[in-house]
Amino acid sequence: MKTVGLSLDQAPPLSIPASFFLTIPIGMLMAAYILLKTGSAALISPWMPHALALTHAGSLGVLGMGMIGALYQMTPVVAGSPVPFTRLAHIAHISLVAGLLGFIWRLMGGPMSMMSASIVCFSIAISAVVLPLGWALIHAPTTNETVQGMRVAVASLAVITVIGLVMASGFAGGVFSANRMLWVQVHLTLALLGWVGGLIMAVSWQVIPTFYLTPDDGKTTKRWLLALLLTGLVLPLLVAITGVGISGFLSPSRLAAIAALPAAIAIWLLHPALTLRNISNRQRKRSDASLFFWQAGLVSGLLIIPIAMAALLLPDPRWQVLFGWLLIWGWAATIMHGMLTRIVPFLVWFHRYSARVGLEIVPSMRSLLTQQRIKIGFILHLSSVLLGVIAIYFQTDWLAQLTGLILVATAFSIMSMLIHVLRSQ
Amino acid sequence: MDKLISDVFSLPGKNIPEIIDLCNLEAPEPMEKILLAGAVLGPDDAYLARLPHIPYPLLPHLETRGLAWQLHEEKDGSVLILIRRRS
Repeated sequence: MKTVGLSLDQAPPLSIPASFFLTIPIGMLMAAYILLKTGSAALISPWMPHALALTHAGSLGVLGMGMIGALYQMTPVVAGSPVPFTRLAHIAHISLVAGLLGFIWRLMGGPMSMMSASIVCFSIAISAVVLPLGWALIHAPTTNETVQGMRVAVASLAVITVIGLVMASGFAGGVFSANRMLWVQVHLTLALLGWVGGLIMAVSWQVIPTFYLTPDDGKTTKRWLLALLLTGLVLPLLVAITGVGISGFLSPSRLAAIAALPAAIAIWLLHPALTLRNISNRQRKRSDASLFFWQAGLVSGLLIIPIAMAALLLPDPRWQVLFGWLLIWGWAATIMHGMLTRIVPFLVWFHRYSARVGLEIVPSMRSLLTQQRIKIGFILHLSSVLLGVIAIYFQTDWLAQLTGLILVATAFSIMSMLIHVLRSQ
Repeated sequence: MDKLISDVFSLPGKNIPEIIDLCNLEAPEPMEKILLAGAVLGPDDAYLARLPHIPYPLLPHLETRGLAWQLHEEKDGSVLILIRRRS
C-alpha cells in the first residue's frame, strides 16, 4: 500500500480523439464504396486486391481510427501518463487518412505510385502515434493490467506496421522475398489478436466495470489472459523468425496459425465469455443500449475460433472471408461502435461541463446522447453484419451491394451521433 | 480502519470523516459527487471517499478549485481520496 503523488498534466484536448473518431465514418464509406463498386468480387477470396482493400478499409479506416483516438484519451486517464508532443497526433491523423486513401486507390486498380505514397504516409503516421504513446505507457505511474494490455497493443501496432509496409511494397513494384503466407499469418495474428484484441481486452477491463458497474475479472484472471495473449503473439513470431515447419499440413504458415492459439483462446473465448458473464451479473441492471453492442460483439467473438478452424481446414475460401468479416465488422467494430456511444458523451461532458459541477447546474452525461439514437445505430450496424454474412454465403452482387448501402447508412448514423454529441454546449 | 486512515492521511483521530463509498456509481457520477462535496467544503472540513481506481481526470479540477487532495491506493486497486480546502 502506498500513498501516490501524481502528475497533474491534463488529458489531451478534445479535438485530438474527436478528429480520429470523426474519420471512422469515412473508413466505413470506403468499405461501402468497395462493396458497391465490386459487388461480390470483394467477398470471393481474402487474397484478392479488392478483398484486401475492404479488409484495410475496416481495419485501418474504422478500427485504427477509433483505437488510436481512444489511446490518446485513455493513456493519461487510465495510466496517469500524459502523452508527449500531443500535437503530433494531428500529423498522424492526416497522414493516416492520406495513406489509407492511397492504399485503397492502388488496390482498386490505381497507379503503383499511390502505394509508394501511402507507405510514406503510414510510416509517418504510425511513428507519430507509436513513439509518444509508447513513451507515455512505458513511463506510466500506474502499471495495472489495463496499462500492460495497452502496452502489448501498441507494441503489436509497431510490429504489424513494419511487416505490413514491407509487404505493401509488393504493390509498389517491390519484391517480398520471404515466405509471404507465413508473414501474412504473423501480420494477421499481431494485428487482430495483439493490436485489436489486446486493446479491446485491456480497455474493457477499465470501461465495463466503470460504465456498467459489473464485477471485475480480478488480477489473477487478467494476468493469465495477458500471459496467454503474449504467448500466442510471441510463438508465431518465433516460427517466422526460425522458419520451422515442414511441407504438407504443418507448413510454416499453418504452424504460425496454430501457435497463435493461446492468444486466440484468451481473446475470442475466455475474454468474451467472462465479460458476458460479468455483464449479466452487473449490480445496477439499468437499460442501456450501448450494452447491446458489447453483447452482440462478444457473441460474435465467441464464433471466431470455430470459423477460424473451418477457414484453416476447409478448402472453401468463403470461410476465410467470413472469418475476416465477422472479426472486423461483427466483433471489433461492433464493440468499438458501442464504446463510442459511451466514451464520446463522457469526453464531451468532461471537457465542457465537469469544471462547472457544483458551481452551476450542468447537464448529465446521459442527456447528451439519447437511447433512441444509440438503438438506431445498433440496428443498422447489426443489419450490416448479418447481411454481409448472407452475401458471403450466396456470393451475389446485389446482396453485397445491399450490404454496402447499409454500411453507408451506418456510417451516416455514426457521423450524425458524433456531430450531435460534439456540438453540445 | 480509523487508525489506518489517521496514519495514512496524518489526521488527528477525532477528525476522521466517514468514508463515502463511490465504487458503486457509474462514471462520471463519482466525479460529480466529489466536486459537489468539494464546492461546499468548509476550511476545517475533510471529505473522504473510496473510488474503484485513481481518478486522474478529477485531480486538476480539485487543484483549480483550491482543494488539497491525498490518495491512498489499496491492495485491491481501489483508492481512498481525502479532500480538504487549501489553507
